[in-house]
Amino acid sequence: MEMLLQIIASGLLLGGIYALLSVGLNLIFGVIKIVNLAHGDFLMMGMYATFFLFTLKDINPYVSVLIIFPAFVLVGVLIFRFIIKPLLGKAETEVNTIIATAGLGFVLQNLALMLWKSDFRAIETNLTGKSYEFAGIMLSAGRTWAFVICIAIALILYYILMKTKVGTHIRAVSQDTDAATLMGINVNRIYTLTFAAGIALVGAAGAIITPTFYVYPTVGLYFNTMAFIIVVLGGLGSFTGALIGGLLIGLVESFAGVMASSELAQVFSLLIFLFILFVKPEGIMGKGARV
Amino acid sequence: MLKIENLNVSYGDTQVIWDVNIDVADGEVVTLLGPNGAGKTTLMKTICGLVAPKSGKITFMGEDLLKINPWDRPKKGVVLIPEGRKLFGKMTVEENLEIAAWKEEGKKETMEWIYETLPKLAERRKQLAGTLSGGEQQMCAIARGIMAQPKMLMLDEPSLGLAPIIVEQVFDLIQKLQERGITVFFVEQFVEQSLKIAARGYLLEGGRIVLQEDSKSMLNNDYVRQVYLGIA
Repeated sequence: MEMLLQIIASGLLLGGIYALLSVGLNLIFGVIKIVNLAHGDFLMMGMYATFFLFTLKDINPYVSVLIIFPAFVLVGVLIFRFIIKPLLGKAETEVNTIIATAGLGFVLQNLALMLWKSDFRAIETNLTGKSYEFAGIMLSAGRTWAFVICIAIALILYYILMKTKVGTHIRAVSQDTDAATLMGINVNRIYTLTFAAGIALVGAAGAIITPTFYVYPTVGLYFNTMAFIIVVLGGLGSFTGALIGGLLIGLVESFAGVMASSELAQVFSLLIFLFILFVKPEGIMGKGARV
Repeated sequence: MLKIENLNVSYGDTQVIWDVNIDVADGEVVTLLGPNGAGKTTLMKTICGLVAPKSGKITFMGEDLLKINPWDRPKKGVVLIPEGRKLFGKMTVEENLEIAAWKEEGKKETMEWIYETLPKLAERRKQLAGTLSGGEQQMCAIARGIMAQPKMLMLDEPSLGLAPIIVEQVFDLIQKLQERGITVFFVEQFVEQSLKIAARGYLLEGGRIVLQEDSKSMLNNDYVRQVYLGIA
């Protein structure tokens, strides 16, 4: 019984991180209707930023979120303005944006390789190796803090989307751009904002996971796959879907890690993914709950 | 109030609006009639900026409308209720109304007027707009347009796909808009009913204005009677 609770707890902790990882990707897809294949590479950039802020400036990874988030907003604005926007509203927008973001991903990976070499890097904070005991369950300190921050960010985002004026505008644009324009909403401004927020969210996720994962130039590839699985699993464009998908994949990996082996964990999440694609191709929350 | 001069619009190489001139005076109700594919919707979209014209001039209250961003045009008083309603289906009725209210001044009063005039909508204010019936959706779409407190409200085929009794309600509502001091410019296929509430009509065929008269003479026009009213 205790074992079971332990597995569930670790799974949920991991799932919370996965959820935050996917939210940005999903937001961009849900509103702008483009697939950002460089998503995982922005996570990698966020991780490197955290790594250097910690090793060179001694800034705590969780505190560095406060620096990385606004910095990545700026990066997102520039990338949207100069790479994404020229492709929107033209022929073959979907294909072109996929090619452009995939290319951007390669550029980021190779930039990282050139600047920082292919070494695996890790940071040791005062939380490293520590864990909290709660009702007989051991919770990794790094993962626990990551989970708490991830859920907090997700809740704030949910509140913004559902309760504020700008959030309502974002939801309006995601449903119908023409109607939004007719109601006096500047669609381009909402697109810029959404793209920047998506990039900043994944940058923040990068900061939060740095204490518990290795940093290397192609770390984004693994997380990119996970983010896409989670987003499709939960339902493209659905905010709650991404949360549920993230937690589900976290649980699956946790169980698979104990029952089989941690190397096989991803195989199991892919099997679950395929299973859901067969029985409910639109994803768990694929209808009715779009952002 | 609205003045369209020598307007030409094309999609790529295909020109759909040819040298169109239209005038709508303050407080007037004017209808734009014509068969499917005449370019009525394109004309509406051009006025509110969803389509850019090839040449020509559109002025609204003396201001060059084409120089104003599409999303800023509602703030100038030009609001379109598009064909097919285009509500935000996954938002509640109230959220749909709120989103159009870009200014605080007069917002409460406008919303009260809407709920008073359309009690059905008041009952369904917390319901998702996508779950309303077709007639209720059209009422909600018009209400959303009113929330922007327009000086001129344009409606693109508000009766599309509605039962005759609901169509009547929509036409009633349009008349109430005029009483509220809103200028109305609307596209319709129901020629007779439209001309009964409008003061004047334009007939658009193949992208050209082929007839413009006050409603009475239009209803008595032989061509209109034969082609659109089926009376020999």
